[in-house]
Formats: sequence, structure tokens, C-alpha cells
Amino acid sequence: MPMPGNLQHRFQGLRGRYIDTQYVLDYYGLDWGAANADLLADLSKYRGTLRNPPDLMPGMVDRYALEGFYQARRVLPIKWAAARLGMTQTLLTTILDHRMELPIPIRRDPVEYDCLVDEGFGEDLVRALPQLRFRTFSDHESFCEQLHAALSEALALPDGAIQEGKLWCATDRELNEAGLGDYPRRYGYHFDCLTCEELSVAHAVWLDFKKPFNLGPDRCSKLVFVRYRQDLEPWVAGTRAPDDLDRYEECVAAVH
Amino acid sequence: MAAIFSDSFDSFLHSLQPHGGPKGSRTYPAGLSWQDTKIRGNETAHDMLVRCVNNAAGGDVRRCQIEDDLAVFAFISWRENDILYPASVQAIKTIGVDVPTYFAGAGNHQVQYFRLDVERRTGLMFTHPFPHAHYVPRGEVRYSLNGWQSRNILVDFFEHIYLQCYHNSWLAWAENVWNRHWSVAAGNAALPNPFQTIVDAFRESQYQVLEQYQRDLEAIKNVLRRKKDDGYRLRVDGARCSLLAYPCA
Repeated sequence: MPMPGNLQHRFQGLRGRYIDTQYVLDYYGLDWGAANADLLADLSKYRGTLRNPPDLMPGMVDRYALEGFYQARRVLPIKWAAARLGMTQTLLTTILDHRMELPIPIRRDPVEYDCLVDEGFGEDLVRALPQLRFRTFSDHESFCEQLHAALSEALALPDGAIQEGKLWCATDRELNEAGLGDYPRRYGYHFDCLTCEELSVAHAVWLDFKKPFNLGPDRCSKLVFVRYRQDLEPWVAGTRAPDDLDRYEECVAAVH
Repeated sequence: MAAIFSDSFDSFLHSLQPHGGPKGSRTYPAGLSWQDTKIRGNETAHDMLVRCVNNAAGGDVRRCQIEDDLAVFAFISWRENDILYPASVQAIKTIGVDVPTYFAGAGNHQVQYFRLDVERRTGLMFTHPFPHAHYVPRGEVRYSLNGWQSRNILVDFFEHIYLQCYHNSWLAWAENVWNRHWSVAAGNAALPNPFQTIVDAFRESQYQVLEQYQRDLEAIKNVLRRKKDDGYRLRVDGARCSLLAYPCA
């Protein structure tokens, strides 16, 4: 199946290091036009420390520098930090606003540059909720369920806010519509680098766009991979394509 | 950084290091007897904890802890300098509360129970793999530890617990051990360290990526194995393991 124009545009961008500001908004959730001046200045300084960075392209953002900056500062965009906790950016913002009302208040502000969150905030949150201490979580779904219930109780959040604030995996949702989804439902954890939709680890394929090794991999949904396999197969990470694609192929066939 | 798994585990393991003699025994906490380590009658894990703490630790449950939520009672013996035999190690991982809270309560909190037996009994034919682990205080099922080829059974038993219950601690230890190896290994200085990619690939079930890093994965296993084996000397008798082994156990 041919890739639609908007995905083709992103696909082309991902094969290099420069991305447009719309993609920065769609993928990282950062409004570059309204970006914090300190962030832009510090990012520029960080980029200056890289070995032989190529010249910046006007109107474009160097994603290698951006992701390297996250890593160096141990932060995540707020949209990504929320996904690590199975929640929307809106719900995480509510929790950040109420962090002093937690059973063990979190005094240190984890937000930097108004849009990036300390990557250890999730662990701080677990430590701030006594009912989650001394527990091991069998998987991300179990972690999210217990975390959301504990937050709801601790902050007296209305059930509607918690339910609306859950970040479900878009691939799982689509599989469910075809009767092929998982039980329990999968939470999002990452974002698909092509569709920018929420993506659980169970439904992700790693793509290797030859980013620097120290940066995390790019990921797309197995459904997206199956749909555009001809384009994406040369970029799959590892020794070969995943071998568990039957369900996704069945779903794609059912939809068409 | 901890030598093995965590600082508190280091202290625990230190207390079970054999002295110089060809045979002897060690316990944790000091003062525990072989009989104390045996679960009795209808005792629950909580009953056993209370009895052992009162008998061997003067009622101070903190002397039995190696993590906030992990209490351990260990009796190990050795002979011929470095043969571990017999041994009984019980570990109680509390869930949702710390060990002192569990100890002070009525025993109605959930726990996970682990026991390592390196024992004389052979049991009915092939029912008692040597050594074996229990996950309930009494009786069946006994799980074989024969798959653990190192014979460094005490450290491997606790690695099993740390992997399952304290994965973040285990991972921090493993990364530290590996990074030290990586920084000194000849020719690695300019190469990217694959550890984080392998960790992420495991978390996300990226089997084909793990295949790609198969050699690095083997190297990580070997480096961690060496670190664990350097940290503790006693080994179970490999011939006995082999004699009592049966593939389904």
C-alpha cells in the first residue's frame, strides 16, 4: 500500500536529522513557535558541544540535537513523560499542579523550560504514594491501573478525569475494533514516529534511521509496518522483520 | 556502588562468607540454628518470621532484613573448603508494607515466599531436584535449580529474587558492572556501548534486535557471571546435581 502524503513527508524527514516544526509539535508535543527562550538558548549551546554538527537549516529543528539534549538533561517532553505513566498530557499537568497535595508532597518542581519534565518524575510519584511502595508490577498495564487508582484516591480526582486521562494505544484500539485486540487494553507508552499516535510497547516495531547510537530508537506500530511494509522493511531494526505480524495483517485485511 | 545487586545484599553476603577452615557453618542473622530454618507444623510464613526473629534476633526484625521489604533467614554449611552442603535459605518479600510492619501485624498482609534447599534428603524418585527452590512454605512443588550451571547457587538464588522483585536495583548493578568492563576493554573506548539498547529491546520484546546483539548479550552474561562468582566462593557439588537431575523437574 502506498504511504499517504503526510506520512511520506515525515518518513523523508526521519531519514535525515532535520524535522519541521509541525513534526516537533505532532511528535514531541512541543510548540516550537512559542518555545521557551531559555530552552532555545540552552539547546543551541548543547548543539555547540557536539562534534562537527552540520549547519542548521532555516525553519528546521535538529532532532539529533533535541533528543541528545533530552538525554543529557535527563528530561522528556511533557507529552512523552505523561505517556510513560499511561496518561494524557492534560492529566499529567493536573497531577503536576497538585503534587504538593500528594501523601508525600513532591517539593522539587520537575518541570524545566515550561515543557520538559524530569525523567525520574514517575519514580518520585510512586514514592509519593504509600499504597504503591513495596510492590512489583507485572507489566505496564498493571502499573498504570494501580498508579491511576492511587492518584485518584490521593488527590480526590473525579473518576471522569481519570478515565478521560488514560492514554490508550491507538493500535490496540484499532485491533479491538476488528475483534483482534488484547485484554486488558494496552496503554500507550511511546508515540508512533510516522502517525504520531499513542503506541504500546507490545505493538511497536523499531526502525533504524541511522540515528546516533546513543539516542533511543524510532518506533512505529506493527499495523503501520504491515500497511507500508515495502517502504519500511529496509529500515527495520535488528536482523529481520518481526515474526508475529499475522494478527496485524488480518486486521489490515479486515479493514479493507 | 554495590559489588553484587545492592549494598545491603553485599552486607548480607559478607556475613555468609566462609572462614578459612575446611568445614564450618554461617547463619543470617547470627544465632540462627538449623532447626530454626525449618518451617514447622501448620506455621505460616508470618509465624515462622516471628519465631525466628524472637529466637535468633532478640526480637529485632531489622537484623533479618536485607531490603525494606525482604527478610532472610539463612543457614549454610560447607565442607572440603568450598562445597556448599547443606543449606537452607528462606526469604520473605512483603507486599505493600515493609518488613517491620508485617512483623508487627497479624500476618494478614500478602507476601512472596522463597526457599532454597540444599539438603540431604533425596525424596521420592526425582521429586527432589538438587538443589531446589520452594515458593510455598511446605511441600510441593520443588523447582529444579539444575539449569543454573554455575553451581554458585546462593548468589544465583538471590539473583533470581532481585531479578523478579527488585529489577531496578539489579539493572543498576548490572549496568555498572558492564560499564566498568566496557570502559577498560581494549578498543571499546570509541565504540558505542550497546547496554541501553539491549535493555530497551528486552522491555519492548524486540526479539530481532536482541538477535542482532547476540554477541554483546553473551558478553554481558559472562561479565556478570564473573562478577558474581568472584564475590562468593562456595559451590554445590556438581556430581550430585547431575545424579539427582531429571529433565522434567
